[in-house]
Amino acid sequence: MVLYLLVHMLLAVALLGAVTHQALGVLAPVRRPAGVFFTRFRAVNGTGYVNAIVVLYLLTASLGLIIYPNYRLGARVVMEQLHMYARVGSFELKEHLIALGLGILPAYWWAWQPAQKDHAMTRRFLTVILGGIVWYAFLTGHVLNNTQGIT
Amino acid sequence: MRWMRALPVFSIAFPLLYLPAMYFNLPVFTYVPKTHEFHAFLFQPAGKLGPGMFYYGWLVTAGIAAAAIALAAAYAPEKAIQRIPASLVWIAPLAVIAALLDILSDWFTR
Repeated sequence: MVLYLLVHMLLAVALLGAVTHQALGVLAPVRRPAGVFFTRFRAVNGTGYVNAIVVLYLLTASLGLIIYPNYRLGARVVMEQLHMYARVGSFELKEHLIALGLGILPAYWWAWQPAQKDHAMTRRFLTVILGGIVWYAFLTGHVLNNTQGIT
Repeated sequence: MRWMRALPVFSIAFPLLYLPAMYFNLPVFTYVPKTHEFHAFLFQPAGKLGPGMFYYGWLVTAGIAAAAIALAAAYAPEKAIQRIPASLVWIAPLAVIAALLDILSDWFTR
C-alpha cells in the first residue's frame, strides 16, 4: 500500500504541474514570449496537455480509490477519535470534488478539441475548475497524510 | 460525430446526479473494506464488520445515469442538443460544489 500511495503522490505531482501550466495559460495567455520564469510558465500550448491531463487524472484517481479503504479504516477513525472533524470534512470534500472532476473530464476533453474553438469561455472555466480540484485534492491529501499516515 | 455531442451532456448530468446519489445515499453497491465484501445497493454492516463505503456506489450510480442521458443525447435531434447552453458544463459542477460546501459545513463547525 505504501507503493500505491507513493505512485499516487508522484502522479498527482505530474498532474498538478500539467494542469497548473494549462490553467495559467488560459487565464493569462502570453501575447509575446519573454524570458521571465512566470511568463514562460504561462506560455504553453494548452492543447498539448489535454490527453496527458485526462490520463493522469484517471490514473491518480484510480490509485486514490484503491488506497481509500485504508484511510476509511485507519486514518479517519483515528481523526474522529481525536475530534479532528475539520480534517475529516476536508477529506469528505476532497472525495466529492474528485468525483465531480471525473464527471467533467469528458466535457473538458471535448472543449479542448479543435472543432470547439468557439467555446473559449467553457474551456477556460473547465480548465480552472479542474485545476482547482487538483490543487485542493493535492493539498488536502498531503496535510492529512502528515496528520495520520494513510497506510 | 454523435458521441462527441454526448460528452458535454454527460458532464452536465453527472454532477447533478452525483449530488442526490450522495445526499440521499443511493449507491449501486456498498463495499465493506474490513471483510472485502460487495453488497448490492445500500447495505449497513453490523458494528463488528466496520463501516460500509458508499462512495464507489455513488460514483457508479451517477455514472450509469449520466451515461444513459448522454446516450439519449447522442441519438436526439441535433437541434435539440444545440439548445443546451455549453456554459452548463461549468455552471452545473460549480452549483454542486456550492451545495456540497453547505452539506459538509457541519464538519467544520463541530
